[in-house]
Amino acid sequence: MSEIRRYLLGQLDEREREAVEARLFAEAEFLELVEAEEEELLDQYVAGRLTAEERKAWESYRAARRDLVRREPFARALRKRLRRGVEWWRWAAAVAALLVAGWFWFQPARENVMAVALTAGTLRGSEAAQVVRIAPGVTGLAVDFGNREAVRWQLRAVDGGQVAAGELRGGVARVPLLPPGDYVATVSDARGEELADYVFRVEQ
Amino acid sequence: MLGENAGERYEQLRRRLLVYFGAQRHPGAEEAADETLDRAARRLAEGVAVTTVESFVLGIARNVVREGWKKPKVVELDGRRLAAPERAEPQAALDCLERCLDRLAPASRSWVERFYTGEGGEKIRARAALAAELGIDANALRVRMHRVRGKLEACVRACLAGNETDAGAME
Repeated sequence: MSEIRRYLLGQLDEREREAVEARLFAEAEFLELVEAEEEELLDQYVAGRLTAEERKAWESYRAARRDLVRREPFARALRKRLRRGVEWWRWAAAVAALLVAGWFWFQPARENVMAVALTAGTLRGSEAAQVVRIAPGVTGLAVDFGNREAVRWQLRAVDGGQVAAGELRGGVARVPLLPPGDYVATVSDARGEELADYVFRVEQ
Repeated sequence: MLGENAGERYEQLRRRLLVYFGAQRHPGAEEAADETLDRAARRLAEGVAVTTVESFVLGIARNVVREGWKKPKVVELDGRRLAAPERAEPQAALDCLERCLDRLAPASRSWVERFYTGEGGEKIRARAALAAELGIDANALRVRMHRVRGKLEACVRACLAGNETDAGAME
């Protein structure tokens, strides 16, 4: 809490209070800062935002200052007027948010799928591992494994477990966007026989 | 007593005294301020030497508090109580405020709306953003807004009193 606020609320000791008073009578700008703090307290008082202790202290100050009591209607009007502005703004923002959400809701999903063709059999850990560079804005991958017998695929991170799995359509898998790292994809036929592994690295 | 800009200096002294007597919880800060200024004017007219009028007035104000000075009781004539000041109708104050906000320069109006809107953290962030935008520190912003508010308040007062000329003098 600022020293000025504590002064107005009667919370300074005598030495501190005299120091504030000396500045009050010597510095024009300090007087304005004190008056600005008075207005802050006045606004918080009419808004019911003072703590019980502050309210009691302010009321004892206010009791000596009838000129401040006369200014309370203005403080109330200012608060009411600006709250109305805020309420209007909040309603407008809420309506705008609903309109935007509705617009997106009725739009067909926009996807930016990147086509990738992988070659089977690349050795794991090889420096020559295939690299898939994800372009900005890409939301998913369409991976062509080049194996017409394959009907299922599964994907594992080299240093982790299974990431995803699914069925191939026309030899192509729709794979969600992958974070950078090393992966192994395995394709299998209708009987569940594993046909080939594909090792690749994803970079962005 | 106060040399150049005497009216402005007198008004400033009175505002200082109101704060001082309020902080002392002295009953009737306005009357105590007037009593202090009367005493100061008398002593200065007698030719007393002072370093600054402001510190001299502060010394007198301290004496007023020490003495426990109280305003003389109001004598009621014919047993009639003095009429209490009329309370402005809230809607009238709002209407006047709207008119006075319209008379502010667009920049000042925008500052008022941003400075006095919101509560708690929202208010602090809005004020910090406004100060940064204006290239001034928090205290300078408070002083600037205090002055704008003073004009706005004077305009509303004049409007409520039906004095359109004063209400129009905003900038």
